[in-house]
Amino acid sequence: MLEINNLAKTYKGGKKAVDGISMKVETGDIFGFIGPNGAGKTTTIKAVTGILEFESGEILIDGMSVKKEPIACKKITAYIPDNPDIYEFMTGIAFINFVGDIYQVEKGVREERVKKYADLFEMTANLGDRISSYSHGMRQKIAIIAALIHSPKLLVLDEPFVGLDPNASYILKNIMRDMCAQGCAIFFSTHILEVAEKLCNKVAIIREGKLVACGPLEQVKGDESLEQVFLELSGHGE
Amino acid sequence: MGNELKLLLRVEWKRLLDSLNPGRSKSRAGSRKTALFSAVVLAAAGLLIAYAVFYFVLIAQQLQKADAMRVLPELVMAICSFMAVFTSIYKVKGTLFGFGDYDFIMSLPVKTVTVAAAKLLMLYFMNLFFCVFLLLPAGAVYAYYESPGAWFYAAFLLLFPFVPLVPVVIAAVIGAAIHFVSAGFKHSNVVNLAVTLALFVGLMFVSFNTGNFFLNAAKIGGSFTAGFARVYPPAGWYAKALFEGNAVFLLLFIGVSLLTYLLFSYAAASRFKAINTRLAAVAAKSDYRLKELNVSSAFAALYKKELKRFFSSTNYVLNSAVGILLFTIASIAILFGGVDKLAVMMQMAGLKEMLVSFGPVAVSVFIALSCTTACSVSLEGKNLWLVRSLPAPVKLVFLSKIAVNLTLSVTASVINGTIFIIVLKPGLAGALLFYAVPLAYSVFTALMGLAVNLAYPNFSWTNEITVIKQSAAVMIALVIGLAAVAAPIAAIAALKTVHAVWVEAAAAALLACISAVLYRRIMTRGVKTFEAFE
Repeated sequence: MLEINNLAKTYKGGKKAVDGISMKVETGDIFGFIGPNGAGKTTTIKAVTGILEFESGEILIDGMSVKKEPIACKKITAYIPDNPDIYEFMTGIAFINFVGDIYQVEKGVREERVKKYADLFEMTANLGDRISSYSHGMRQKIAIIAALIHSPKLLVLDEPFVGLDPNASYILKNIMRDMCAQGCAIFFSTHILEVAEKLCNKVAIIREGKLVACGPLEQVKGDESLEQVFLELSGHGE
Repeated sequence: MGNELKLLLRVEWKRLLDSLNPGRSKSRAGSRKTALFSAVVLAAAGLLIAYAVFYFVLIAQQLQKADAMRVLPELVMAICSFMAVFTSIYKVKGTLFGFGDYDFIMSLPVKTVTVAAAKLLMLYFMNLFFCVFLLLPAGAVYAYYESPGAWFYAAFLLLFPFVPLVPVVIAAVIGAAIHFVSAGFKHSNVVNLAVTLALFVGLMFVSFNTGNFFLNAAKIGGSFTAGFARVYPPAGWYAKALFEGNAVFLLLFIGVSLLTYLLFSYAAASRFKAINTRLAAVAAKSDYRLKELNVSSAFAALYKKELKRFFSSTNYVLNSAVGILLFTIASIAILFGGVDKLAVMMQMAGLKEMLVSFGPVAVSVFIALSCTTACSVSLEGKNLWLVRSLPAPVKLVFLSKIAVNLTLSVTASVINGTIFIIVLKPGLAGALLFYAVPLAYSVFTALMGLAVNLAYPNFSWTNEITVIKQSAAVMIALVIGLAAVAAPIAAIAALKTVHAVWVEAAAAALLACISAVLYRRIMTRGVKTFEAFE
């Protein structure tokens, strides 16, 4: 579903944020992307979602190039950023409907999904309020509902559990599992290694823009915990 | 307090300069942009001062005949004070209260009074602009014609920096009151916008009458200040200090200005948290029930989003739709009062003849002032990721931004153009031009604003006013827009043998061609530029 080949991205000023990384996320995968702050996780995610341009390498979503067919790629992808900066001047329902319009989600399907996810995240009563009145967690929930409104084939999340209450985190994890069972692929970054260990079937560890480990979870961690592997690979092991 | 105030002011200055500096990167392209923008700003500043001097010389010549030369500095001081109130009211939210980094600033170990004083000082510095570009040239022209003694120079320069202080405090009080009251309503933005617009129209009315008063005063050789001082006593002290050599009034003016500033800083500090908390609060009912959803096309969704963004911000509406508002006020004035009454109000003999020949281009200045696109890209700010990650072609995003500008300017052009045609009866060619010329300017302004914002974006703002009012893109778009109106007017004035109708038709045709080129560039290079924003 998602194929990253030799991706490299250098920011203005010469900082190499990502340096030739390659990985593959298959249908049904929950792929955890782990790394210390500033390792290149968000840069990679933004390149995948078409937000950031990159100078070399290739990103394919469902066989389509992000560079050559950006709109087609975006149509089957949903992205939830680490900071849910969504339109504060809209109400929650107006924002979700706006996203539904952009993805051209059929009216009945749209209403059904809004009901399903808004009820799940206990946001229904708040949908008529302006987003500027929402807490960080509520904005995050609206961003998640909007991302799910078009039933994406590839769900990309950047630190999705930061800011969510335990109940919402639990619901999101269940949604992620359900989506993968139905043939979707999930690619997400996280700092919470316990979550990655419990949720993912594949992980990649990035350090200073380079992949230091990538593959099925059991293969990457071997007999150790993911935390021990991460600390060793990120240069903080004993 | 002094050191902390200095540090806070330094941060505010850096932020202001950053919003003005189009070439933030240290690359060669960044330096080139900064250099180009600096050259444009310097040229515009030079032109503004030259125009002010030219205009004041014309007034001075009339005033000299009436032996009322002192009216000049008095009047310009009044205009500066008035402008300070007028333009600061809607800057209060975002600058003094409800600013973007409120949480961070208030968490610092800095006294609230210091924060309030720093924010008020920033408002004050922004208003020194009018004094530099208006009061200084007026003082110079007065000095040239009257050759006053040393006292005038000393007093003028001493008083000069204190002129906007009290008006800024007055604006802060009015602005805070408007925001405080409107914050209590469910649709606080709508209330805020309605009250501010009503105030805007009221101040326009006062300014017209003040202009009349000045000219009448000048004709009879009386003191303009006598009237203005009744409403605003410091104006009387200013005049007495300047022309009567009265040191007591000089000290009174400076003392009262400083005292007002300090008192307001302390008063604002005591209610600072309460006011900011109220302004930050957004009404939430939490009683929504799911209902049928309206389905739109992707373009309609983006267009509605842009319209919502526009009307959600009083600053955005007032700064970008000021021309349309003035256009409508002018139309209503001539519809109900007739051109003759407007001519009397504006003290412009032969206004009807001028409007018939210059009209289509002259009213287009209102359209050039109404550019919503010049900050529309920058306003995406931290939401930029959204339009970048959604499957909406960039062209569609651009079209939605252009469409909002056209909705406002084309509607105003058609309605107000019709009113002008009904009142002026300019003949068939004139009537067609009353539609064609403003429409050509509408399209040009929308496209040019977008192109300029794509070249000079700023996504890292914390206060929207920095991109709506103080950004390089908005200033450049304003200069280009006004130059585009000034050029055909100058051509009509210069080419006396060619009928104005032909010049106006040529201007409309030329603008249409430039717009076509701009559209092409925006939809090709502009799209690539947008896709490369990081």
